[in-house]
Amino acid sequence: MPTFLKNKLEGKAVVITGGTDGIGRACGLLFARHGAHVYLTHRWGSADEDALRAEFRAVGGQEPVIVEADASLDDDTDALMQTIRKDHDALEAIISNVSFAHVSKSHEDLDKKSFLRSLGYSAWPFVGYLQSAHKTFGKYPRYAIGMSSRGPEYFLPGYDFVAASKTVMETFCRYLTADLLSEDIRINVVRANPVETRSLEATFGPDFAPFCKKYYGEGFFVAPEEVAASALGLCSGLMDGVKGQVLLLDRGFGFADNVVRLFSQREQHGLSVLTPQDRPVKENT
Amino acid sequence: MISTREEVLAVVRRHLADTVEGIEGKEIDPSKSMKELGANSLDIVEVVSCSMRELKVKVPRAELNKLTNIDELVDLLHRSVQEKASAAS
Repeated sequence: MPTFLKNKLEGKAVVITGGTDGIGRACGLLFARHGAHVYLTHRWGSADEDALRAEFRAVGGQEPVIVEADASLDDDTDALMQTIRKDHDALEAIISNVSFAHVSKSHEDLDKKSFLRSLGYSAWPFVGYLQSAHKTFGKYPRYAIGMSSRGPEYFLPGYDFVAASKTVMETFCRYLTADLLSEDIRINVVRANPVETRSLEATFGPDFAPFCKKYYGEGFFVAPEEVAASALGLCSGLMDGVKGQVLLLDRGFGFADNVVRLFSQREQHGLSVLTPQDRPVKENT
Repeated sequence: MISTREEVLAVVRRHLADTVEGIEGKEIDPSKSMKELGANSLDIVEVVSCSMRELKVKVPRAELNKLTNIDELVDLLHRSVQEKASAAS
């Protein structure tokens, strides 16, 4: 573990929304391992808190503070900041990870109420947490990171509201950076390839991951730990010149994630449309 | 303080009416599932979490996943309310 990272983060407060599972949990463990005092928020009260604390101890990190806070409710956010304020004079980083949006079955299934609620859960916390932190501590955290996904740039079935929410968050990343250029804050977004989490299966169903692996390869899915490492990198001090960016975390797979790549491997996957008899014979010239 | 099953049902009914498009002012049959009443996945989470918040109880997600209709949700929440009350006394 790099000593400079430990020195930088030791004892500092880091908030991670949706921090008890998946990407949020991976971020929490990694930041705690590097000395941060981590606050994990969740909404449902369903996390096995004892098991989670044991995981933090196992990586040599300080036990996290686990807080039930609905990221869409400003009162909950303010209460969380007050809790942190009791032990810390400043907030080092906010990782806005939580996302919850309506997954639609068809365009007829899109309704305004669900859209606004999706934005409230998945986009607004990125702004609301910063505002509340500033109100509570008198300054912004040094780092703010939003967790996005590939939805804003390519089609995923039923993902309309999630993608719209992530797009809004990415827009806030750029605008807030421009608005807060004179402040000591670095705001960025990590746009990661799909991560195999319970949330992924709940969104796309159980067939999605096996299908992608069969026709694209294991590398398509990134690990929660990779996303966490990118967040840590952005908060390491080594990337402080990076501001207002939407960073793609796709292992290079995104460029060729299209039907033409599948076409190039059609025989391997038994997807050829033409039989050998249908193919024109090439003449030697 | 809410303690009876009827009171818990009233809380759930109110959050259903506030959340699910098109059922405000209509009779809600608790033997039906929220999906049958037109709730989407986001609505269901909203109704359950708002009800839990108002009743000041927490129910594990695994328990909630087993439920098939509103009556069962009310029973589960009511049981949690009773357990919390007896633990406090």
